[in-house]
Amino acid sequence: MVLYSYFAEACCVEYEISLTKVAEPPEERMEQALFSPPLSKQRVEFAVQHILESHATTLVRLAFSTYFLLLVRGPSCEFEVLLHCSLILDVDLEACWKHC
Amino acid sequence: MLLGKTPGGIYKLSREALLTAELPSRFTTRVNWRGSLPRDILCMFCRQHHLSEPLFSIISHPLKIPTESSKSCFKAAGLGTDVIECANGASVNGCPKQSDSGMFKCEIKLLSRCAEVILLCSPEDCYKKQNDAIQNASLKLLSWLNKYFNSVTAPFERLYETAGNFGIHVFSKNLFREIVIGQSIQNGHLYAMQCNKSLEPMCANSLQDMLVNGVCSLKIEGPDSGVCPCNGSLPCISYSVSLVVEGENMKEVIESCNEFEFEIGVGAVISFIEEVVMQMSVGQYAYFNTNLLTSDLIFASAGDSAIMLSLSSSELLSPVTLPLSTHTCTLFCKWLNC
Repeated sequence: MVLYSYFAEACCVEYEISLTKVAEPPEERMEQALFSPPLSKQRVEFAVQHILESHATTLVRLAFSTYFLLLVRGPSCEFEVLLHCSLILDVDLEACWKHC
Repeated sequence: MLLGKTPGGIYKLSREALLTAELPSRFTTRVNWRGSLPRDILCMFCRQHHLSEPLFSIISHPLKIPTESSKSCFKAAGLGTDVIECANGASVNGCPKQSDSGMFKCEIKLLSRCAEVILLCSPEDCYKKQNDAIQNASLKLLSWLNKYFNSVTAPFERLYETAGNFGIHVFSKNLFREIVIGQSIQNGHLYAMQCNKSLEPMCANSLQDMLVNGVCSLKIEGPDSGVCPCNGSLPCISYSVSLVVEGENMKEVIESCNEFEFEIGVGAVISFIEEVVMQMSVGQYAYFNTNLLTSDLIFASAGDSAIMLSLSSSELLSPVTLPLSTHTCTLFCKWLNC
């Protein structure tokens, strides 16, 4: 009867929704949503520009991001040769060792 | 039902949420995806339509054109294992080593039963992970197919014309036409049953209550906790969907779930549900009515038993197999006897 009533236009569909929790998006997803270009890329561009302008040969990065270091060490990065010393300080020892 | 033969239907079934879930338009990350993965849905789609398993090819960036050395082919042999066939003749098992700095594209070949290439999907998007490239390319192809299955009145030629926008090249138009036209004839029976009911009569007394598109009489209750979903977040909802007879005390729950997670901003649920959830904070309840669901989805959600209906009314045109709950089935049979 209920189903028939739906076709007879005397019936409608009712939704009841309860929002129980919300999980924050991962950092990468938040970057995509909030920053264009991604924040990690902006950080790298800022650092690269600063290194080139100041002719720095030493880099000290506090709480570095993996992405940043990968780019600095990457084969496509021209200013790799400019950096004679790169000092990494982070609470995540595992990440430090992995990318040293 | 025929839902299991359409990309969107396969996804809905995998989430057990026919009246809530939608095939997302984007694949962001594996951890945010819920339900069957796009690649698995595509394989299922091919099996349902008696096609060969699709062929996935990974192309390493920055090479724009696939070469012998940069191209590996993944033939989906099943849901769990991959047999990787390299174009240069070598073959290995498991996933190839992933480069730290590489970017990947994926192209997919849809093959007929006789291994004839029906279409090639090669999106330009590059991804850091091979799996992301495979899932994104699969989803792109599924989304394109789904556009057609969602609108059976759209002519085949229109679908064909939009292929380029999705990075799709149809090699065998005739073979492909057989797949989609065959499906559209079957869907046509269900389409004929759609109510196309207007929201206006339902909201005639309270048009101001129609707060978001397709939703009528929206009420949000409970204190505002300040914890709201945002783009990219994963809200978890508890919900129920009921058929309600207006003016009478009749209500039947046709779908419910105590824990349903989805990603905001990728179209993972029916649009009006996401719009409502975006207005809520954790701990709040929302109630609303809608008439925008198609009757085939309502029937499919109505239960697990099935009856054969042969009606000749203007709305129910031809014999179709419909799953109905015992209660609804009894009521329906009574109505038929009258």
